[in-house]
Amino acid sequence: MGRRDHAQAPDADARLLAAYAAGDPMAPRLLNERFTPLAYRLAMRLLGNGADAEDVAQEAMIRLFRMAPGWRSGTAQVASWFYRVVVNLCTDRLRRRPAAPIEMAQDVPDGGPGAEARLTDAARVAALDRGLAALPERQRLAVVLRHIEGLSNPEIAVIMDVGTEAVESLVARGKAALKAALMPERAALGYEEG
Amino acid sequence: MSADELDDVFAAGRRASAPEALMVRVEADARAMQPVRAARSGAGQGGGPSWLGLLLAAIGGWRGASGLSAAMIAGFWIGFADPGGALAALQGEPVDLLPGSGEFLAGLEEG
Repeated sequence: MGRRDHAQAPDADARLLAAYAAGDPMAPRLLNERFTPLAYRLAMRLLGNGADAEDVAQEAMIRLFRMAPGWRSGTAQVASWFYRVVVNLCTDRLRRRPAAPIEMAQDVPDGGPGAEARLTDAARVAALDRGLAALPERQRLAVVLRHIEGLSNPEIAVIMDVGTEAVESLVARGKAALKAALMPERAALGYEEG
Repeated sequence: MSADELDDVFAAGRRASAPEALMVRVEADARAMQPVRAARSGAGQGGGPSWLGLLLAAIGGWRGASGLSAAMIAGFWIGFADPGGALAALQGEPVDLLPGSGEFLAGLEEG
């Protein structure tokens, strides 16, 4: 999932939504597979908490299902609308209460092939979430949409309701701050000194 | 930290997947909230939903359609799908305004 998936999606997303609204029995699973991971991943990066991210993802999907019969192709992209819903739900949650402690993003099974790689991945995701949590909210959002969701600056500008230059500035500052935050953890994240 | 190392960290963030339990709950929500499918909508043929399927979704499925008279349904159909081109009728050309309507209206009687 990333820039390529998002770029090829617009017409396909609208058609899938129409099929769902028309009662196509395949559409629920396809919509779920297309959008729920996106919502969870984005919410997880913005909130740093699995339970909160699941709540946000489920609520965002409910709003998608509710909106489907009224969606009119050509007015906007489904994915842009959906990203805004997830972002707004996350913002509401952050405003209502203090951020919960950052937790490991996923359970890592002991032993077995690839366990070390999965441990490294989990450590990197946890470090990423700690670094993101330290950023101002708009820098965090811009960095996540650009470097994890793979959106273009104009796409991010639509979602954040700001100009493209503002997005470029937010991404540049956020990425620099994130890099600085992760530097002390290089060795723990599996990168050699040097 | 180098640009490549930061990209590695971002890539790890992209690989994080949604929990299976969440996927199960969301699919259940999707099925519970989905509009009722038309029995003979032809949805999925040619890769997209039929006009009939979309029309029925707009008026609440077969259950919604059964509360309306056949004349009202015909009016929805003409306004929604413009089958055959209403303008052609105004120009004196014979037009079948309700193609496929026999099957459609028969389905209402069943519902």
